[in-house]
This record gives sequence, C-alpha cells and structure tokens, in this order.
Amino acid sequence: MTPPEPDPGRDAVTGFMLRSYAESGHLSFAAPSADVIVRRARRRTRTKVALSFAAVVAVAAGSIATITRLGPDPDRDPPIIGPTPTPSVSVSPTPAPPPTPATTSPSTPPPDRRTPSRSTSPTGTPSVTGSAPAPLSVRGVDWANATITMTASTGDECLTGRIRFVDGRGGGSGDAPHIRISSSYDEGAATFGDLNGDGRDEAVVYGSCLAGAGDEDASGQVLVVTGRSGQLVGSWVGTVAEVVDDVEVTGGRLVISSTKKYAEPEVPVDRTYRWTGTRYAQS
Amino acid sequence: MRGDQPDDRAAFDRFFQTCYGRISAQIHAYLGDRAEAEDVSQEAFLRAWQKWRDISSYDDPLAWVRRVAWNLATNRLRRLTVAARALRRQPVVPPVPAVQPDHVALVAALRTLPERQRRVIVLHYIADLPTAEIAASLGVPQGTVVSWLHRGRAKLAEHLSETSSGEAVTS
Repeated sequence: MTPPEPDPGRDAVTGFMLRSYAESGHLSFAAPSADVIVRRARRRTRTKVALSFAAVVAVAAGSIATITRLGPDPDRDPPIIGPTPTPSVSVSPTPAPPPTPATTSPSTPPPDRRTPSRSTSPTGTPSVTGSAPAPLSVRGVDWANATITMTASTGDECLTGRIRFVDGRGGGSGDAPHIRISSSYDEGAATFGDLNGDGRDEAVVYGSCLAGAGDEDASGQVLVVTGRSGQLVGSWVGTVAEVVDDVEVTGGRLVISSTKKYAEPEVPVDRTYRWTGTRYAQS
Repeated sequence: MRGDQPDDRAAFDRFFQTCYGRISAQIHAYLGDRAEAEDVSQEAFLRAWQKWRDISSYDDPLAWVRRVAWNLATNRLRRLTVAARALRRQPVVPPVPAVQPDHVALVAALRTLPERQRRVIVLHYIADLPTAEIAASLGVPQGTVVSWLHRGRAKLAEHLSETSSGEAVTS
C-alpha cells in the first residue's frame, strides 16, 4: 500500500534517493570473513557449555523425580477457551530432551541432523495415556516448531487451543489469524524458572498474535509456557506492543522490564507478575 | 543449533557474504551510525550461525536475521539517543570513499525523522517489506503504518529539497 504523494516534484527526488539506496546502499558495506563470526560464536559457546551441562543434569534429575510422584495436581493449568485440545497428548519435542542441547553443543550432531525438527509428525510423537500424564520439560524445546495449547488472552482476539508452530508461525496463512513465536524478544534464549510453585520450571518466551488483515490487535507480548499437564500450555502475560528489555524469574515471580514503543521520552518500566492459580496477575 | 559440517559452513559463508551488506545498510539508514549498524548486523548473523541448522532450513533465513537485527537495533537506538541528539547538531562525519553522496544525504535526512517514521520508511522502501508485515511486526494497525509512511516521506522530501540547493548537509 503506497501513501498518496504530497508534492510530485520533491517526492520524485525522494523516491529516486530511496530507490538508489535500496539498490546500492549495501555496496559500501564489505562483509568481513565469516571466520570472524564463527570464532566469536565459538568463544561465546565455550563459556555457556559448562552452565548448560549443569542445567541439563538438573532437568534430567527433575524428570526422574516427577515420574515417581504422579498423581492429582492441586493446582490447575490456565483456562483454555476456544477449540478444545484433543485428549491424546502430542508433544514436540519429546518429553526427555537429549543430554546435549544443540544450541550449545560444539560437536556430536545427531545422525538425522538434516531433518528439521518441524517435520515431526503427530504419529511419531508419544501418546500419553492414563489420567495423569507426565509433566513435560520446557527445556530444550524448539519454540519455532513446537505445538502449544494457547489459553485465552485478555482483550485481544488471539487464537486459542492447540497451535502447531512451523518456523515460528502457527495458525492460518497469509492475513488469516495467526500467532508468531520466538524464544525471546531479541531472539536470544528463553528464560526459565518456577512460576506456579510446583517445583518445575516454566519457560518465558515471546509471541505476537494477528486477528486478521489490518487488525488492530497485532501485538507482541510475553508468553509463559508450562509443561505441567504433559503438554505445552501458553499464557500471555503483561502489556502488549512494548520493547521487552529483559525478563527475569525471581522468587516465583516474573519481572518484565520493558519500554513503551514510540514513547518520548522512553522510560523503562519494571512490572512484576505472579500466578494466581488461574492467570498471571500484576502484583 | 550450530552446523559443524563443511557444507553447513559453506552455506553460511555464502549467506553471510550475500546478505551482510543489505542488513547493514538497512540498519545504518535506521540508526544513522555505520559502526553501530555493522555491530548489530554481525551480532544478528552470529545468532543465525548459532542456530544455523534450524535457520538454514527456513524458507526465508534472511527474514529471521532481519527481525533479530531490527530488534537489536531498537534496543541499541535507545542507548544511542543521547549521543545521536548531540550528533544531529554536528556536521555529518565524512563518509568512507565508497559511499555515494546521495546516500549520505538520505541517511542524514532520515535522522531528522521521528524514530517510528524512519523505521517504517526504511522497512518499506529500503527493505521492501509490505505494510501489512511491518504492521504485524510493530504491533500497530496497517493504517498507522501507512500514515507514518506518508508523513515521513513528506518530511523527507521537504528536507531533501532544502539540502539539495548547494548547501552542505548538516542535518
């Protein structure tokens, strides 16, 4: 959609300069050798590997512990409004993550490394039977290609029910209602911590929903995902359409540091949210 | 999910060499600072390499890098705001030899626009994104994006016509 042109003469000059920049502005930027990028990534990975290994061991220990105490859970998952998820639980990825998360593993790639994780078919996923499905770890989830049951949002008309994400997008194609998801606002790692007091970590990621073409609810928002009921269940938290500077789980509460988009002056705000048993409320 | 095979590395090298300039140019037009733009661009590609096994299978890996770069640039811009205000009062830094004078003038003119107008103009006219996609990424209605484009372009035209009368561009 092109806006009406205000002044043909002046605007022609502007148009010419914009086109010129679009076509050849990149020529003045010479890419360094990709070795520079790869070496920097490797240095960063080394510092993370030790930490990640410790985390995986802790998660694995947690999974074993939870198997031994299956039973009715006193707390509930967030309410799900809209399409009801199917009773047979399909999970992506598998409940027990591999001991070497690929984001930090410098070696030993799996043999089927060329197969993208999104190709996992429903028939290939474990089906959990019985009344008390094993909780699902939210660690090691490939968020761009996960299947998440979305709970109702407050105010916005986001899709609800079970959404299968492919390349970070789930729902309809084109302008049809859909949700985009990423591990964090700036595509960094997700944040983890126990937010509902059950001893298992929730994941804090980022998403945005579009209710349809030209809709006014297209807005990014923090998304908390829990795996307590054996499936990934997501709840929107906090204010929409802000620049999210940081999220932190501390003392069982979620602190979101954000800045309102386009505000003058820009003032960062910290807001704290806690799980009430049915939703995340600001406290 | 970093790729470690020679094929992965070769594909990443090609992707990086092909796309680095375009991402850097877009971020430069937005931030108005070459060094910051290159820094942001390199960080975005670094994150792409860290997840290359996934990202290389995407239909449009460049879209992922662009989104990361713009999010990083938004955060960076805030820290640069104070410095940028001071810079606006100074003559534009002499460009590197390969930079066309028109491009210097355009980037200088873009710096006079409010952040949101500059952002949508760069995304639409330079990164060639449709207004619907820009609206979705910013969390604003499409009509708002069109309105910002309209106002920003009018201001840009005004500024460029003033500075094209022989005076040095001082933005």
